[in-house]
Amino acid sequence: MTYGRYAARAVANSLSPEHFNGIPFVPRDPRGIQSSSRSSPNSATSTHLCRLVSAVSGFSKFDSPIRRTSRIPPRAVSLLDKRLYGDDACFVTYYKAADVLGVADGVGGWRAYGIDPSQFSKKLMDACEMMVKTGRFVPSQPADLLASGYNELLQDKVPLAGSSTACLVVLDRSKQTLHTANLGDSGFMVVRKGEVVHRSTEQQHFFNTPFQLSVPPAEHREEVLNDAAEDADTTSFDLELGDIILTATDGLFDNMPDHAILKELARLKDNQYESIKQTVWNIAEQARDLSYDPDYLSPFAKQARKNGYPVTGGKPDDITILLSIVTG
Amino acid sequence: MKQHGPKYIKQYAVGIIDYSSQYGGENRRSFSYSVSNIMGEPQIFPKYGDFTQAAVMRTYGPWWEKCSSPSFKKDHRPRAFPFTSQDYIDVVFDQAVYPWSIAIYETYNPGSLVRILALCQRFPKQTAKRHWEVLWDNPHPQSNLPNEARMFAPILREIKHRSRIIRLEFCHSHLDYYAELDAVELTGCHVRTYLFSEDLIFSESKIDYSLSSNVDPEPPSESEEEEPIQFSHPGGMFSLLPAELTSKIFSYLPFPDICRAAQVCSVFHDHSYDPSQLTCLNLHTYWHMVNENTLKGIVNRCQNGCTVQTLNMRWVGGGDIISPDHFNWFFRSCNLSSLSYLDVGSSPCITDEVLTTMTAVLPGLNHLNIESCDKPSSEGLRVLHKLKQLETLNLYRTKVDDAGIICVLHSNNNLQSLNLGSCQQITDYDRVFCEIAAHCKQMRIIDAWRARSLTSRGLNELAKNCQFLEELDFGWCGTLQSSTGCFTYLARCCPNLKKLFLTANRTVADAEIRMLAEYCIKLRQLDILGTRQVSVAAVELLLHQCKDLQFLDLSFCFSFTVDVVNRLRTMFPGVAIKRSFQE
Repeated sequence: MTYGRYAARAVANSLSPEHFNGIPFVPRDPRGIQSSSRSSPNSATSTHLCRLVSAVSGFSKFDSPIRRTSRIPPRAVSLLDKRLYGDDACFVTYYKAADVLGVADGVGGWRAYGIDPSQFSKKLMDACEMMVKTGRFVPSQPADLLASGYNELLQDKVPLAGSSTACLVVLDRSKQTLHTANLGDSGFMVVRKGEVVHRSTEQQHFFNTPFQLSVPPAEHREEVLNDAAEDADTTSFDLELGDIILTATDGLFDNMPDHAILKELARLKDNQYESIKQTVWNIAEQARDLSYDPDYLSPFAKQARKNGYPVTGGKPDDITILLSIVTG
Repeated sequence: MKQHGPKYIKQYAVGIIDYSSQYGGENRRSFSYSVSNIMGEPQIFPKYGDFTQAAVMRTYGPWWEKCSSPSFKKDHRPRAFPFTSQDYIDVVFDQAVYPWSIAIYETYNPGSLVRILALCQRFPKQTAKRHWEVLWDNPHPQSNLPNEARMFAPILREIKHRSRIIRLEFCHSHLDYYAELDAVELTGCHVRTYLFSEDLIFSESKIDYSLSSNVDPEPPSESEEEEPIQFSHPGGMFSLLPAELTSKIFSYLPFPDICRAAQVCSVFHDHSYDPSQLTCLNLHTYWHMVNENTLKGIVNRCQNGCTVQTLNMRWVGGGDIISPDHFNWFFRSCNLSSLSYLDVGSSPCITDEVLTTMTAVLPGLNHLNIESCDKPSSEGLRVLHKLKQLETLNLYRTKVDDAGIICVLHSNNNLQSLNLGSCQQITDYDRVFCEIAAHCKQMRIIDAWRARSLTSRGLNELAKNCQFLEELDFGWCGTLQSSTGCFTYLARCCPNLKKLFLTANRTVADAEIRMLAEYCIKLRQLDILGTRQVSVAAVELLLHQCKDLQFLDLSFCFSFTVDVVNRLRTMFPGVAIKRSFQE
């Protein structure tokens, strides 16, 4: 059909209409409709392409282990499905043949200006997720995705202020290639057969001051660090089936050295969602416990010492971890 | 188990074909408040509030029309049916079905939907004529609906054709704030399942096509005229009335009835062809019924001496039911030399060729609206400079570029009202504003909604040279910085300011508000949505000083909590104070 202003574009995986017999019904609660295509992570995708099975876990730094009265069994906890841990935010989504993950760490310093730092990271991740879900991105260009997500923050009626680091990871399933963009000190690592084969590089202006995307409040326009999404470190990497991709905010990397993370990953039983969920929970919990250990020489403390700050112990921080496995 | 009976298919919109306006920017990469958010499954429902992921249109309420817009000649002719539509969205679905139900997810200020139409293709395909059929209408939308998200699924009329393109028409003048939509869901089946009798359906669709049924109205034949025995005059007793009286009676007929009356007898025919009947022609109301035959009929009338002065063809040709060539022919064949007002907003029939013809045959045009016509190219729009007497020009959402608008400004020094909102191709709004300042000193109204490159340089130049400025819309002009003093300068230069929209400017502060309170006491409408820096005291001062103030949007301004706004509302009951929320 030749129609004048045809600007249609497909919407993520929602095109298969439901067929049903007899009298049609108009459901009162459309949440029921939504669930079918969204809840199972990769139901609508064809089988011969690789895909990611991912699970999320994390803690807000205000969830201190001291306040914790009993160990909460992971299965029962909604924390696992939450997308916000303190000032951290994350998302997992997909569009056609691309699986996309992202984490962002809101810069806490804004609290002193009366600004909730979690708003920035949450809205940044929401915007990136929406970009992906509506197909407004190119899988091989995650830095562009980050830039358009950032631009979208300025399009909100709500005046937003704050800043955040961000790390986006895109799996192009048709080419089995990982495209990444990382700005600041969040990051990802790809683990193959127990070894780190690929990872992000940290970007810092100076110690403990990562690169960040920011929207300064109008009155502080001059004084705020603002890096461009184009400054993000971008990489492309060919994946193999069974590769583990761990994407996390600095709350993990500052508190848990690689060998400890690898040790936990080695205990991963299979590539089923349940076991990934269990493993990511274990890592998050361990990182959180370490972050509150005052005597422990954490990766953060080591780095601080190198920069002349005599620091010991973990660094209490928000922790967000996305753990994904490339499966066939 | 095999079940009999029709198979119903439920689908969400997969594309947007056309729309008349949107709150969001035109950048395809941006989704915030963009009409395209209506595609796909619901994202927001059942939440209620002002969210970026919703489809939002450009206006609401009476505010945009309330200000002293240029005086268009009002069409006093009654309409064949009530028509209140102000905006539309054409959505496309994956599969063509006989529509059984259409559900709209409304997530903010519900109650704006007033009509649903389906674009049908007649089968078999060789007579592939497209036409619109009305599935549902409710010209008197409900106001004061509860503030909660709702899924609205009106009962549809049965139609005889399958369709995958649906037009939703909205009226939002009765709403308290912007209407926001989340999704649209079409349920239908591939085979017809009629509950009503064919006759009923046929008669309904017959009404819809009345406009085209009067093509080439032939004068009644001799034999018919001889038949009536009682009256010796053609046209019965009507011919005994003074012609002026019959003409007056005819002026109370809706346009389709005039067309129909022409077929009755020679007296009616002559009266309906009276030039005075068509000085003001509003086809907007009947846009879905206007086809190539209708245009032929109008050309006929014009050749018989009708002098159309006001022609409203908004939305006409929607769904490409009329070819641009035919539109071109229409403008060429109609004698429209006395036309002063032409509105062809959102008409897909307007192309470069049509514009060229229009500018050649309409030299005396004073008011032109071609908003949301996305076919004319930047180069094609340059022919507009051939018009020399423009007073109002609406180029909202067109592809006009810097060179195009500048040459229009050079040749139309009497321009008083200009809409350049969401014109993506204009790269340097400052330069355009400087040209306005240099050539169009009479300028009163400027809409520069989402003018991305506008800075204080352009604004200061405008304020210095155009002292008659009354209405300014600088919504979402993020590059205008109040720290340059441009708004305070504007306030000092333009004491006649009645409307000022600084939506989402973010930099507006107390200094600007106090300056407005001091110098612009005629202010009626002010929008400062989304600034952190305005205090309650400054706004109170403004409310005290500007006695004419009717509208004040303080949404997402941090100091203005629900309690503060409620207190202000009680103190100033004459002002509609807006405070949107995103809970």
